[in-house]
Amino acid sequence: MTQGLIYGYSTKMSQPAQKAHLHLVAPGAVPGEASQRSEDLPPSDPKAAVEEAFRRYAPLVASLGLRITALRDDIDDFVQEVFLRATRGIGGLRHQGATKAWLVSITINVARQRLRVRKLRKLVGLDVPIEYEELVDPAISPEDRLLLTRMYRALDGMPVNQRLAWSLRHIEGERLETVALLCGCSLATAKRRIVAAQKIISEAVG
Amino acid sequence: MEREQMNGQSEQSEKDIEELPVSLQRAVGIIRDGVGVRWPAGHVELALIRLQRRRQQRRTAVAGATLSVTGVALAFALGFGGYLRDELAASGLMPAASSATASSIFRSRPTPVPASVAGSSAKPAREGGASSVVIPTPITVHAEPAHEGHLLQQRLVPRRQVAAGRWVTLASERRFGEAYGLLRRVPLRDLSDPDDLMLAADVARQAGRPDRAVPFLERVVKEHPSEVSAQLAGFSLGKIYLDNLGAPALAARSFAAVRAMAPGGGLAQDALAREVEAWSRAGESGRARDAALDYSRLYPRGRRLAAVRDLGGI
Repeated sequence: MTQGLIYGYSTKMSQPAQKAHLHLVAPGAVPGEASQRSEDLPPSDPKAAVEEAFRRYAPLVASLGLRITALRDDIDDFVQEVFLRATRGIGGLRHQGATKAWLVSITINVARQRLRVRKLRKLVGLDVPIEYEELVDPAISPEDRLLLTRMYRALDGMPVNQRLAWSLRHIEGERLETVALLCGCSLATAKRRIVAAQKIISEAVG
Repeated sequence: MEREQMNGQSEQSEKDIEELPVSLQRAVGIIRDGVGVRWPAGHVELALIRLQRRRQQRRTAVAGATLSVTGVALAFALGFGGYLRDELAASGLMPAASSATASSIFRSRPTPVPASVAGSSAKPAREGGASSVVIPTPITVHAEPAHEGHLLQQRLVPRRQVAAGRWVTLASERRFGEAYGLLRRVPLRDLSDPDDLMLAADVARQAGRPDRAVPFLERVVKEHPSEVSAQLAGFSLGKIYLDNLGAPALAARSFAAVRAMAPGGGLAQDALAREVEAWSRAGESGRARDAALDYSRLYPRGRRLAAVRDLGGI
């Protein structure tokens, strides 16, 4: 399993049997310990902080959003939406070092919203079909393109929460605790969603 | 046995989470390696500019939406308040004393008897102030029969009919606030009799809405110029323009019209005196002087002579 994107998240489980309490912290920081590093301080100028975050993380947000939603034509708008939300909330960010993880969580929320809207549009017949083959380099083999299309079609056919959990786990390579945190659910629920999604995909892709 | 099955399922789930079939591993690999965004140089800066522009647009939109919502809420609150007041007045639940505007008028000055209530026996006074030009006479109410009975029964009758009958009754009971609430529902075209129009004007004035009395009074002057009430309507109109609406030029013309209707009538002297005052307040000193000279010539012993001379500058 590859390293996930969101290593800024720390998972603290007080007792194994209890529900996990997840906190957003700077990478490398120990939760509960005070630190005076600049990355551990809140941003002094929120507007400048968002612009700096945009320069650093906009491509990451775009790639993550594209892999999860496959909405290639809307990706610029997607990134804008993520950073507009970030503008509203960056004042409440307590550690500059947690910006990346925080942006990823916003990205997942925006992706969830977009996927739900797309499902709704599909339900009422307003959905525009996506050419999944165009997501990748034209040089790759037709078999791989077909595989990709079948994979995304299977993802489109499952509930949005299952899709997010599976994508975060297997495409982004996140730890289960991080998946649970980003999906806003318990660890057990995250596991159930991943297994359910896996079943659907296995049947569709083979 | 069942526990073993459950344990077996759980182990399978963990395995599903950790391991992917080969075909899926390949598909996931394609997505990881092949699906991504490769922005050309400078695209991030362009996107940032677009973000700043969009942020500004959103702020403007939010401010506009907030203003609109506030305006709509305010309009609704005002409208609903007015509706509620009318409903309470219509159902008789609001006591007359609760109408602060009407009650304050009662206290502040003597209430002239409405011309239409006084009927044709109303006589303009020769003596006395301008505010007491009507001599109280025995009241004869020309009113439609009121809808009596339970509130529910009244509701079964169309509101306009209820309003048309009941506002006259309420006016005769000097419950002007409630009467005015109902009067607002009566279409103007339904009122044509000069007595009804005068009563409607009095109801509006006593309810604290002298501006609403103007259309009724104007109709009396225009549609019934030969009636005695037309002079009274013209005089009342002049007083409203002068004292309530701050339109002294219009007031002067109204007073002049009263004098023209009946140069020897009981209101002529007072109308001329008030005309001088109105022109003076309108800043028309020449016209005020002319009117004052007329007054001095016509009423050399008039009770307002001193004031008229003073206002006319003679």
